[in-house]
Amino acid sequence: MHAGIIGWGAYIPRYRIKCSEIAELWGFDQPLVKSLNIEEKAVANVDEDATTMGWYAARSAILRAGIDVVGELGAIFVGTESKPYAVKPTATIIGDALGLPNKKLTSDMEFACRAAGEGIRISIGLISSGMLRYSLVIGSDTAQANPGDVLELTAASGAAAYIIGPKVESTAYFEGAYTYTSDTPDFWRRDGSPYPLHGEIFTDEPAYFNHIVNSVRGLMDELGLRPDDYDYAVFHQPNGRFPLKVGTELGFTKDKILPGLVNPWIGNTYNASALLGLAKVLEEAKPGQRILLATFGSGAGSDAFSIVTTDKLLTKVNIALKVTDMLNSKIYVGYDTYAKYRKLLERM
Amino acid sequence: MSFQRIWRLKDILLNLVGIKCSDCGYTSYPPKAACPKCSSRNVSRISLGSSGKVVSYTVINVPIEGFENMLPLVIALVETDNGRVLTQLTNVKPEEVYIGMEVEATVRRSATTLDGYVPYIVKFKRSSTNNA
Repeated sequence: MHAGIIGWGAYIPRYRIKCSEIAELWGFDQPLVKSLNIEEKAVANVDEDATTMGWYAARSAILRAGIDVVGELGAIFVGTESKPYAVKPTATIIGDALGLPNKKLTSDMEFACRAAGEGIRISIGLISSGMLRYSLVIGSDTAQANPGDVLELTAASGAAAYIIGPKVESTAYFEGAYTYTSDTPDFWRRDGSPYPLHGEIFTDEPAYFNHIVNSVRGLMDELGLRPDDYDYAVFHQPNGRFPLKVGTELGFTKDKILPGLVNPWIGNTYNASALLGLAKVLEEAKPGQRILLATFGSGAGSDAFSIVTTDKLLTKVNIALKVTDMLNSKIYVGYDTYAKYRKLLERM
Repeated sequence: MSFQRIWRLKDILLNLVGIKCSDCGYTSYPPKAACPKCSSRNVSRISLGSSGKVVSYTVINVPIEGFENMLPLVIALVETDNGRVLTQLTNVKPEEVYIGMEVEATVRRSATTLDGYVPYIVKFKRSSTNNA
């Protein structure tokens, strides 16, 4: 592999709702909320969506990469399952708003929460083969949840973006990637349905754990690496409990997982989930450290990446807003405001 | 506004493109064929930039159709490095706005058109290095 991360960016909306308030409204047991290990979740404003959040994260990624990359950006891939349009690409809107060249590959990708992970894998291939110099990959979602569904306790909003480019220019390079997919019906949303359905406990072992365990073990077997060789491990975060459980099962200690765990304070941001965790880790990692990244998307699949940071990392961290800044910058709203912002209420 | 017109105004709405008069130096937004101050047609397109200060503002509580879920609308005159723009402030309550408040540009949704098109436009929000 000859590709790496040139720049990264994040976006977390300012508004938060306490999960305990949602639970109280709908009559969920508070112990259920505690078991999810999510304190609060990020709520996008009424004028925000996957496009606007993706734009913000992408702009930060370009700032960190250096504005010179814009002229040679040959691809933009947007992973999302909350497209503003069923038919009309999000990627073209973001591309034009950022002033990117018209000559580029441009796609919205769909694979539940791991579409952006596939975008990174494709970008690594395109760049390693010499077909492109830079690619922009965005994971952005305003996650939908049926009011009163247990999913509402976690489904949140956020975005992360990465400029992928040549390894020699990178702040962190990819040394390996492994993808594991199968037909597993743990979570889906039919065409025209505003909210997804999910298989409750079926999202657990056959879906999340099976796919992540297989992708991570496959990656480490191919590279001849063990959990001890990693300084950080970042997993997809549907709740605050699963990443710790799957990491422990794979042999990673808690102190390697916690730095990349953002879910307890913002909820499940779907395509941005693991990528926001990676962004937070990049903000605190030192050059020469090894990071495991494992995405997951229902349906189901997981990409595992082995990433090594370089000397260029430290110069990039403070160029744009950091994940930690956005985690700390928040305004609490009640369920009424949340319902208005997320369009759970319709005016007649 | 039709989606065709919004598309034609895309540069103006998304990238804050205005004009600068080469004769008198006046900047104007949105762009016009001639300078509004000296009538010279010797104008060139410029970007107004992405940060500025609130010069004046007003609050709209009774909106035109389509903007109901964004109430109250805070409309501000913002002075950027390159000119002035009449714009919407977002992520802020009316009582939090003040003249001189530093703001930065961001891309947000505007009201969906009757045919279901979603316009994306520049709005401004409070500026800070640690405030998303």
